[in-house]
Amino acid sequence: MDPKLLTGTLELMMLEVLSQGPSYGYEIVQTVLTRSGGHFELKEGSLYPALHRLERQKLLGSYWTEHEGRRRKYYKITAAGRKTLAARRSEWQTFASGVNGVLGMEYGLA
Amino acid sequence: MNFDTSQFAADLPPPRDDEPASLRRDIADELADHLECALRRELLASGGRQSPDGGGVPVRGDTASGSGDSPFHRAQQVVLTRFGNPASVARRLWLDAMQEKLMAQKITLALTCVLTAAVLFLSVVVWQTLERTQDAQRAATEAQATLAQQSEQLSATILQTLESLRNSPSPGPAPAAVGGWSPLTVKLESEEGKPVEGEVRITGTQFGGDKTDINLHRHTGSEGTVDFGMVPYGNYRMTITAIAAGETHTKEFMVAPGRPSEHVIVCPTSPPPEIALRFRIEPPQKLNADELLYLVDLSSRPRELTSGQWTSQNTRRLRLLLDASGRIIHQVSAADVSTIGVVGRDPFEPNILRRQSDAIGAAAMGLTHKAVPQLHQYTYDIQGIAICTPARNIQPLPDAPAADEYVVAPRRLFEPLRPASDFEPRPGGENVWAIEFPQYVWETALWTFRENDWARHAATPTGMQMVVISSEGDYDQRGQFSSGSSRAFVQPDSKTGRLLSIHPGVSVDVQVHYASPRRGDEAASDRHTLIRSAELISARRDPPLLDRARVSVLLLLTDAQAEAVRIAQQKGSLRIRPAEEKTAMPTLDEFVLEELRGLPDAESSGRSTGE
Repeated sequence: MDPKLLTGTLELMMLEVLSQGPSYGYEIVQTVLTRSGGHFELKEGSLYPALHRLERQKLLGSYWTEHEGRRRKYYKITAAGRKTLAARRSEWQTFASGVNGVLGMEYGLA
Repeated sequence: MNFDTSQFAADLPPPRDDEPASLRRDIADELADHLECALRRELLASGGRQSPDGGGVPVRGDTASGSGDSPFHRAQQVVLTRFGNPASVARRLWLDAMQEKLMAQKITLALTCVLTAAVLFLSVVVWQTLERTQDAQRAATEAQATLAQQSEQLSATILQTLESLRNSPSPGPAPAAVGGWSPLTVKLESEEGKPVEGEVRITGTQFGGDKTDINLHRHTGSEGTVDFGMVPYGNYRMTITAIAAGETHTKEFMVAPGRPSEHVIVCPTSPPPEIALRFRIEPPQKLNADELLYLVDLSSRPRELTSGQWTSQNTRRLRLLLDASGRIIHQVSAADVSTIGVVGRDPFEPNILRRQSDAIGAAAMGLTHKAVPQLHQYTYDIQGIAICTPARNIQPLPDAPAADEYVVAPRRLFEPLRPASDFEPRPGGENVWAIEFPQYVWETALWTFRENDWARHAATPTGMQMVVISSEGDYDQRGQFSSGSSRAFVQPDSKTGRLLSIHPGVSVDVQVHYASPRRGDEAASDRHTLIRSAELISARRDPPLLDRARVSVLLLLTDAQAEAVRIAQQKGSLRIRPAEEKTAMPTLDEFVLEELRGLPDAESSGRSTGE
């Protein structure tokens, strides 16, 4: 898939994953890849700047835990993150509906 | 750890003071956790060995086996390929975390630089302003101090001068120059260095002034020295009169501030040697019986000495009355006669004495006597000569006009206002100054003196033609007559021509237009009265007693001018009008025809005027 199509949707997907409960980086990546059906082939390292950006925007919170002798950073969605998620989800549905309408997919024309 | 976390920080910038203490560790731990998880999953997916901790974690033992193609290494490579360069990711995370602080630091640094520059600039400006202000204050203080000092010195000098003047009548030594005032002294001495007595008159204008505001007058006394004291600096003019010589000298000079002005003037000690002078004027024979007098307007030129030009006070301007033999018999004062000057601007125009002079007539009769000035050896110029007839002044004829008795002509006809001669008499023996008048001057004098006696003199051959007569009018610069209050005289050339007789008591009104040459065109002198056109308006016999308003002017014409009149007649420019009905007198055409028929060479005129 063209990575450009992911622009602007990666943060939406991360917020969505974290809305289900706290998670750490590798797990978030795997969840996104799994739930996308393996279509999103991204450099896994590129997800971390997005996570940190959401954290600086106070849409995510974080905390550290110990796991098998390693420090692991968990992310959790904040109240502001949930509001943002709802808003972006609505925007995405409007956007996707429009794109589908143009492409004739909404009414089974494709 | 299956990954070297120290390599994660390979691309990170150097540690900063404002950097959170756990930032680098947190980034490294998070990335390491991700890679460990990914490696374990990859090993499980590829069925490789688990790590010795029994947790399914791959171990590094495979790495230590020395085979780069072991499943562990392949899994490790797959993980790194899928993740990307951990060092680059760590660097980006660090930069993102420090972005705000870095930007704030840059902004702070930029603002600091700007503020520093502004403060430095303002400091420089303030410093320079303070410097200028201090300089101005210093200069003002010094100027005030100088002015105060000069004022004190000037006051002290004035007080000292006043005190010295009060205590001592004799002038002391010249004080030193103070401020804008300087001492001024003038010393008069002869060429031999001896003191000369004289008067010094000084006028001056202070610098910056626009009018003469200084007037000083001192007598040198026998010491020949004048001390004017302190005078303000400015431009001055000094007029010195050498009393013994009767001569004056003028000099301009400047008094500079702070510099004494001392002048030593070499003066004449006596006038030039005395000379004897008489004039020789030879009138035509027909005027010999008139015992004419001549009023000579004479001026002496300055003489040159080493100090400059010296002008005689006594002979700078003289009006001398000569008898018929040219002997000086009287000095005429300015009150006796009007200045001899020109009536108009035309240099060929004779001059007129405007009023009678009883003094002239009385002098001619020997009734008064004024000492004839002693002439000295100067160079003289004649500004003008008046030919006078004394009889008219003493006992005017009953019908004579009350003015215009004298015809004044310059010695050299064409430049009456310029110095026309430079006669240099010599001492010892008699100097004779011969003056020759042009013929027309004598003709004019003859006509003027006998204006009311034409019948007696008309037959006198003069070599001129009388063609027209004009009434009152002005002969202006353009050579045209126009009506006016003053009498006009027309002076034709006298080289050739004939005089026609005219019946006395007949007045003819004529409009004459002349062609006058340009000023200074002496070569055209014989053309200066050429007639362009003439119009005879009327002619009638005047009453027995002449009316001043009808006094006629006799016009004398040369052959060339008469020819011009004939041409004017042929072209119809010369016309004769019938006389007015109220005057039962013969018309001019009849009269002129009668006169002209008797002339041998006036046929054309006679025919033309008979229309």
